[in-house]
Amino acid sequence: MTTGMTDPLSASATAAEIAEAVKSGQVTARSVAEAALARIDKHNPMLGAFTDVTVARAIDAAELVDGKLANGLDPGPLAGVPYAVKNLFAIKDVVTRAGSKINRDRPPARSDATLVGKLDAAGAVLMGALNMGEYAYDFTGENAHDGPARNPHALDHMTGGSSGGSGAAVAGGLVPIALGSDTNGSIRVPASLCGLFGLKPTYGRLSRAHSFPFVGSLDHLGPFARSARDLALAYDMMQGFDEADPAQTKRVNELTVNRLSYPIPGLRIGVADGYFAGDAVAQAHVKVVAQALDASRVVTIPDAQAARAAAFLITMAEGAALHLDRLRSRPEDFDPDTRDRLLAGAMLPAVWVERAQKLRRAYREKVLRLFEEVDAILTPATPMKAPKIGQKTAMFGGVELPVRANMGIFTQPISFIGLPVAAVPVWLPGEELPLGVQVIAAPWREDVCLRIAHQLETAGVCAAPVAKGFLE
Amino acid sequence: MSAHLNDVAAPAIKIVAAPGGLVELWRHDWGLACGGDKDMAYKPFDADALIDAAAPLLQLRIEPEYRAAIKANLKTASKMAALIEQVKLADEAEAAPVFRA
Repeated sequence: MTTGMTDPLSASATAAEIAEAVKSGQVTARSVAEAALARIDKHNPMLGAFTDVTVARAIDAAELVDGKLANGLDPGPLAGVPYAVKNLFAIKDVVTRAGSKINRDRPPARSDATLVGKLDAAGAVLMGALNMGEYAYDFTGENAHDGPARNPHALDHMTGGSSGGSGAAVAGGLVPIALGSDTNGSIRVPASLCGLFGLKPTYGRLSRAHSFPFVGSLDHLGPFARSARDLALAYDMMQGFDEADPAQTKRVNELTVNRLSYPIPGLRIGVADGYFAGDAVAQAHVKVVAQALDASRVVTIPDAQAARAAAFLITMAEGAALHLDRLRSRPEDFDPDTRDRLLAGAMLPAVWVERAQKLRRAYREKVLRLFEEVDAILTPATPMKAPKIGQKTAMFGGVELPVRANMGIFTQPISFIGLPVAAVPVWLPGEELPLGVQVIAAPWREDVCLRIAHQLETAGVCAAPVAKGFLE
Repeated sequence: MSAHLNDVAAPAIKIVAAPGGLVELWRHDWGLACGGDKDMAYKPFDADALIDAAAPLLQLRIEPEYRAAIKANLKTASKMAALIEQVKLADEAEAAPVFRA
């Protein structure tokens, strides 16, 4: 191995490094898949990241990549890159449990989710399905049926949720890329708590077809990675119109990888004050990013608290409508925390929800006007670092509040109007656990989020290392 | 009122006098001073009454052990609705059930 290069078979290899090594013949895709499967076998009992490991499929897919290379064909930009998906994505011949007990009584999926098909077509190799909070109604990463996903940086701490297994799998070095879903923060919260890069694209950008929904008007899918380049690579490969998702855009693909190195000084970057600036610890992490970017502008996101409240109510109501039949027939089979929130959601007065939807449009118009003055806005991703598993309350702004309901207070006002966000990991000196910062851009400007993330990573301001203890 | 019951992470909201509105109901429910019309017969938000009325309508079975958490969630929801009511909306405001850029 050349000095300075990461071993492509190691836990810390990035997707870009693996693909390059496979395409150059340095390693086979099969050897990469076997190394990943060995890490999963060794570490997953401790991490609780995977719920289903698709061993045979992974070996077959890797051999397909190797076969293409042997025949002089291009296997794709993600040649031989292991990845895994939250278990609400359909995987052919695997039951799509969506974190629930109830859904595992369903037959196995007959086909793959659209995004799984796109990553496979790019040469990536699926390793299996990942743990998640029940029906994605969760910010903790705990699961009443499958056990908690554990934060690789501190095993007695939460990953955050609901894409908790995705966070654990990437931070634990089991795979370099994982997919999750984000309705109110379920990519950005675990990215923040596990110290990863996470991308929640613009609402409608990536197809959600053949994934189990939660709140259709808020649901997004997106990637986790340990580098901004890997995030961009995965995102680029997943773009493309899919008529099976009624919310999907017909915009042409707007690739980002080649724009990562565009200079930052041309961008106008602001820091959100007010609602987003109430917690000293969270603000300390934002300050590190702001200083590195020379972001001196202050931006007030108007009505953010009401927007968060509206997202909260819409989620309760839409979630309850989705699960009404199951709430009637099998209430005892839900995680009680999920069930009781959904039952309450079923009883909300319709006028509250309609009012929330009206506020949504007015709020969107106000926030979009901010992007006439700035290209990106910085806020904390979470109000705190990873709480301990099982911890029910924590101090938020000096007040003791429930963890589960409040971990998304900074993410909800952003996804509420579908803005693209990259969560970037920040580690303060001497701290064991990270906290993420949201880099928020105007609709369809994922390239801005990813450029900033890449530049922060290149400058050493943000980093997403594999957790100590999981490097072998 | 102990702080931990307040499960909405919200800086102190500016109470707008709105007799009969949710903010007033919320203030009563949480034991806050009321500056509204004292002749109006405000009642604390009664989550039990809502559950008892809505559950049969929706054919939902509410086991006794579910009730406390459902009530807590409904109280949180009522406070969220109160926050939303504080934002003035034009009569012409249209709902946005699906965001489009």
